[in-house]
Amino acid sequence: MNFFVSPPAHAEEAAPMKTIPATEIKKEEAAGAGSISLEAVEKARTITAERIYWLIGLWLLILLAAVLIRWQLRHDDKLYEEGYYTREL
Amino acid sequence: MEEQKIQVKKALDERLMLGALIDLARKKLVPVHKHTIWYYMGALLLILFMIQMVTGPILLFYYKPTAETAYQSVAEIMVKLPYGWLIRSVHHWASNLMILIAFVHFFSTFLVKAYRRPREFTWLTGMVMFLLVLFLGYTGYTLPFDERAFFALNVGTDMPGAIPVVGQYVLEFLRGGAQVGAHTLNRFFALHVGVLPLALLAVLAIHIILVQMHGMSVPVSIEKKAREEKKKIPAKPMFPHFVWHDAINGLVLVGLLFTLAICMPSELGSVIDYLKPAPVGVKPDWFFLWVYQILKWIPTYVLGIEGEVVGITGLALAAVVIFCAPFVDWKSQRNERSPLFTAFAVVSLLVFLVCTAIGFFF
Repeated sequence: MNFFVSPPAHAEEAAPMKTIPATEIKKEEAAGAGSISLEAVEKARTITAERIYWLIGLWLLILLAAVLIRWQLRHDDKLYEEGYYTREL
Repeated sequence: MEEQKIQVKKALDERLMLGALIDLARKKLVPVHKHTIWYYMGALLLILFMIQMVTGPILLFYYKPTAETAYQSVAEIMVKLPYGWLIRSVHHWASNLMILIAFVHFFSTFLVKAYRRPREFTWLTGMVMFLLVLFLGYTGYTLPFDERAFFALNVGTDMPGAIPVVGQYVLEFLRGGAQVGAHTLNRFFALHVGVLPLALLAVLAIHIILVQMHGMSVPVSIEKKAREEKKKIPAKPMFPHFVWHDAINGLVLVGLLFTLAICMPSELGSVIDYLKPAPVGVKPDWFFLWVYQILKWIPTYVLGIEGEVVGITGLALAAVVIFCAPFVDWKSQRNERSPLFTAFAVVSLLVFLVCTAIGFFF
């Protein structure tokens, strides 16, 4: 097997190409091939248990982050009370 | 190691002036009083705008802006694209929340007369942004090019047609012809993804710079009370105090946004049937319901003039007065109480709330 003259392995294994006439494509388009129905859209919009768990997880993360920020804010408020920051306009 | 750290910090500071920026943030004070809560609205709007700037381009990768393909491409985003339904729903709800908070921000600044000297241009840029946000919401609503969008395009582009003299030109400019069709979608797409966001970005930059320069406006009543009591208005630094508060508010807002997106995902109406007549009682999106309701109440003819023309002209005049408030509310400019403009703001708020509610429920 000569590396320079032999066709690559994937070329040998590839399926033969099929030419689809334009008229056939047009016929498929007219029949609405690949079009998504409203029912499919409605199904995609359905609330599932998985989505609700995901949402609960998100709210828990938000709650945790808010508590941490609140701690930091309390610390900054203490510094403010001690006169570390400017207090008046 | 410590010395290297200091050197890196020094090098960055020399090039990016980070120290000056941090100093500016530390020096910026936010007044603390009973109306402080309204100061948070701007940051919430900025967060929502950033969410739109992330979700918008993702949708843009898959949306096909032609009359034949728009509807199917939105359906594909909803069904085939992984988390496409979520991205579209977040974009949809972020836009609605942005408009809602923009209304709150507008009415709160109007009521506390935040347009007083030297903040006239902050008010003008804010008003321009408010209009841009409303128009962004409307153009985005029409892009799925479903039945609802088609009727919204018809009703919405018909309204400017009632403006005296230039109405017909505006109508044809928006529609790209006499009727709503493929050209209308192209124009609304170009406006939604190109013209309006760029304009909003440019005006937003000016607005933020002006807010940084002038600081937050304090209501006349608070200033007067402080003057009478010969006390200074208490204030807290923007950084870290208000940035932390904004962070907490932003997190709650993101939670609310995802809750809405998951529990009430964005809808897709039926395919457009061009031959179908407009259904009875077709309504615009919620943020234009008040306009719809006002125009509905006006009789067909008022003093021999078409009712729609009277309504649109009246609303346009009210908008001009609001736009020019810093230049016509002289009392507020003299830091005095201005009952006329307070009444105007309260009546505007009531009209907005009542007409929206009636338009929504009836």
